[in-house]
Amino acid sequence: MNILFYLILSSIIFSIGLLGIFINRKNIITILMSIELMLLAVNINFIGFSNHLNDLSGQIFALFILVVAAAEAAVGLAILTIFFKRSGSISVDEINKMRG
Amino acid sequence: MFSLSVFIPLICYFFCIFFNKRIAEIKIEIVISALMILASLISIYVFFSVSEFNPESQIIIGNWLSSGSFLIDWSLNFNSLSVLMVLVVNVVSTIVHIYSIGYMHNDPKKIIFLGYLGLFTFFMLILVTSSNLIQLFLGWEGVGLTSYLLIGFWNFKDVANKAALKAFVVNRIGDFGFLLGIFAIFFIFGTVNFNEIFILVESQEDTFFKFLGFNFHALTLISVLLFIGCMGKSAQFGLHTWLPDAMEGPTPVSALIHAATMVTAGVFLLVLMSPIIEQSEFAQKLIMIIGALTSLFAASVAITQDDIKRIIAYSTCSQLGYMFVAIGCSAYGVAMFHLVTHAFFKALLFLGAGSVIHAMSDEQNIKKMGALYNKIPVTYMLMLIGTFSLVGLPFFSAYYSKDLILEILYLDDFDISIYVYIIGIIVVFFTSFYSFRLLIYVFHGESKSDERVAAHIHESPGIMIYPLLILSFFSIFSGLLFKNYFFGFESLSFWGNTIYNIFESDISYAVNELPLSIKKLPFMMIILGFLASLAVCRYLTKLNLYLKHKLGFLYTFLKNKWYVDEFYDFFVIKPTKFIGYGFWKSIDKELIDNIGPNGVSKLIKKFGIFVSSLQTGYLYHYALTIIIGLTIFISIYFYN
Amino acid sequence: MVILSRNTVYSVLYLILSFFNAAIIFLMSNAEFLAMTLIIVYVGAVAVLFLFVVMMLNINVVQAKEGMLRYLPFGLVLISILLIELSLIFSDLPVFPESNTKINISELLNNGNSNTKAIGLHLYTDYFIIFQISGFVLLVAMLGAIVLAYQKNENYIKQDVSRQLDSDRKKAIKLNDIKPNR
Repeated sequence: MNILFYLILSSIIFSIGLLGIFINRKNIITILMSIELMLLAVNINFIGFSNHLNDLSGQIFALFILVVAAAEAAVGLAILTIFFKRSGSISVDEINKMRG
Repeated sequence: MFSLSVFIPLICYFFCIFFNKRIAEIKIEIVISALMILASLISIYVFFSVSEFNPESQIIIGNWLSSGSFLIDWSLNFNSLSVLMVLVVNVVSTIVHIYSIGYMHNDPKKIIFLGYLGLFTFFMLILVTSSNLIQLFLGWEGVGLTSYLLIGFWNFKDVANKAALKAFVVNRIGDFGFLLGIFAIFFIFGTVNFNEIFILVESQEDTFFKFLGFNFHALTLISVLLFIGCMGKSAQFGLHTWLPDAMEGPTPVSALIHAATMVTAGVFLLVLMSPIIEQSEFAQKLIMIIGALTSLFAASVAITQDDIKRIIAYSTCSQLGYMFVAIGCSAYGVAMFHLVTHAFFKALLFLGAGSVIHAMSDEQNIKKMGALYNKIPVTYMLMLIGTFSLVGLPFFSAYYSKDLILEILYLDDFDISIYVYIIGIIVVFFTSFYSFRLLIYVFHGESKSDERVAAHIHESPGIMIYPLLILSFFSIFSGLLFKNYFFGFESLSFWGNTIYNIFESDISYAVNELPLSIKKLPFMMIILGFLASLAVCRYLTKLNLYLKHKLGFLYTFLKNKWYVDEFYDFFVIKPTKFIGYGFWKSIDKELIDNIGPNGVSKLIKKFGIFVSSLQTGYLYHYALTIIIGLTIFISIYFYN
Repeated sequence: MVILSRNTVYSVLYLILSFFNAAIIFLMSNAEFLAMTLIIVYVGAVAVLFLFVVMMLNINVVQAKEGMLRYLPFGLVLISILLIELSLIFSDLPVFPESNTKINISELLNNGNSNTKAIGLHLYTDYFIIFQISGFVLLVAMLGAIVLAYQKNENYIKQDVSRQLDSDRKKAIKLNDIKPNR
């Protein structure tokens, strides 16, 4: 399988993830899912290159990325829960405490 | 031994400052007086030993600056010129110290005052004993500083503060010239040590400065620049305006600084630099003219003044003019001679005036005094001695020094010197006139003071009188005593090669050969002045009024000190102020402030507002920014 | 569809779908273990977690996607620029040489190892430290999630061991001196 296939696929998925992050105004959960998508794109890249170069390290790194993604999802969702309990909403519009 | 006499005043200063309010004032006073007397005795001893054996040496205390070939040491010059000045400064300073203890006895800051006096003495001694120009400049500025402190000592008086400031600022102008002179000397000779300069003078006779397309004779330029410095310090015409105002300080200060020592620093410097001055005829002529002008100006102004201290101040100015005239006609030894005698009799006059003021409960206007001769007889006698010395009655000190100046001037071969001689003779008349006018107004006539003041008139305490007795001794006899050191054959051996004197030995013969009419001319003028003042001020008061009426314009002209202050005010201060104000408004406020501190802070604030408006706090804005950045980076990568 | 669907539950389901697809691609490229892990970890755990949260929070579905269209065109333009540029870069990618690390997949497979065994061989030897650290990361994430989400509920009765041990007879009864006639 051509390496180009992997690269284009992963960049498409990555772009979709990006788009998801910033067209979304109301829902943090979607943003979290977009991040998962982006990480998936990275994983696809790793696997593709691993296959292309006939090297196992890519798969091992993909495994680590899975770990990080899982951890991030867990923490993110926990924060989300807290936030929802506090403000009664998960709308991104209302999160502007960082405003300068 | 020698360095001890220089550093004792510094010890006095620290003693005063550290022990002020810690131990009783009387103890401090005793210690200070004892130390100063010790210093004077040492300096007298040193003076006589030097005049006997004439050893020349430098006492190097330490290294100050060394930068390449530019070496400056802390060192004391130990030759006849410096020991003479040390002697004068120390003796007068000691007397003034003791006198101040009596004069200032009610002042809460008396000890500080004594400390300042000690500091001043130290700086003055550093000035006169320095072996290089930089250390001399240190002393020069040091006496300027202490003079400022002492003039403004009564800082609750607004006038005193202003006078102190004026003295400081006017001196800055002179110092600027002096500093440029030092730079020029370093530029030409590559050294600032006197000995090396004097060795090199001959070789630089034909050096020229090129500046703005003009060629300046280097040594002339140096001389003129140094002379400008001296004009500031020695209150010569043009930069004299600070001296009369400086009389706002306590009277002992006027005696010490503005009569005996500091103002003579300029004369001292020129005498010291005589090998350079001697190379430049233009500078000599300039010095002579300025000196003559000063003496004429100051003497004529003194005639119309009413403040006892101002009269004496102008008289100081005029005597300094004499000294510069003497320098102008190469009679350096005679200039020093007049400096020494002047230091004594002028200190006597000032301290006597202080005594009078003390007696009159701080009244300084001579028109409000009168008939004091039998109330304060001792002071009267002392003032009389001082005046006789000042006008140069025979056998008093100035008779020797001042007449010598006039005679040498008569013999001098510059084309202008005969005019200067005539001015000098006129000034003798003026001097006599205003001196006796002062005496008549203060001590004779009817008492014009308030009854309250009159009832309180008293002789000064012993602590003020006894120092004056010593001074009066010096002012009578210093002429006789020192005559041989300064003039004639013995002077050559005394001075050695510290000052430049080629033809003094010839001239001393010539002076002795002068016709009697010339010799007696100054004396005639003195008598004339005395009679005139007697006539105008004492017996023919109508004549006085008539003269005032007839010569009204002249009178006001003199009364207003030739309008020099007004001239400066109009032509220098106003434009400067105007320009300064303009600059302040336009450059400083508009340009620099707006661009500099204010502008930057405004810019930062605007930028901050802009940046903080970027921080919306919305997550998607950040995400968008990241993506835009990423896109831009990829584009850059791609198109490269 | 993950990012566009109105209902968050649907997006999660679409996410699961895309994960499945990715897993199949992994399978196709000799990464069986990762494919399985992806399905188990993501579909089994993470996606379920998402679903769980979505259900629990009970978000107002109607307004959830409001205002999305406003930013969509701009986003689409930006993303397409990015995408086109990336594709152009990829199109003239240099030919990568064979990797020179010793971990050669085909060699391992030829030696009779399965993919899982090969990963395990290297994970527990060459990448041991990183593996441990990733374990810690998971632990910290777990702890963090618990700490964040844990909430003390005062409504139910429970034992407080330290208080029980701390109590003694003297503290148990408090005597108040009440004066009469007040």
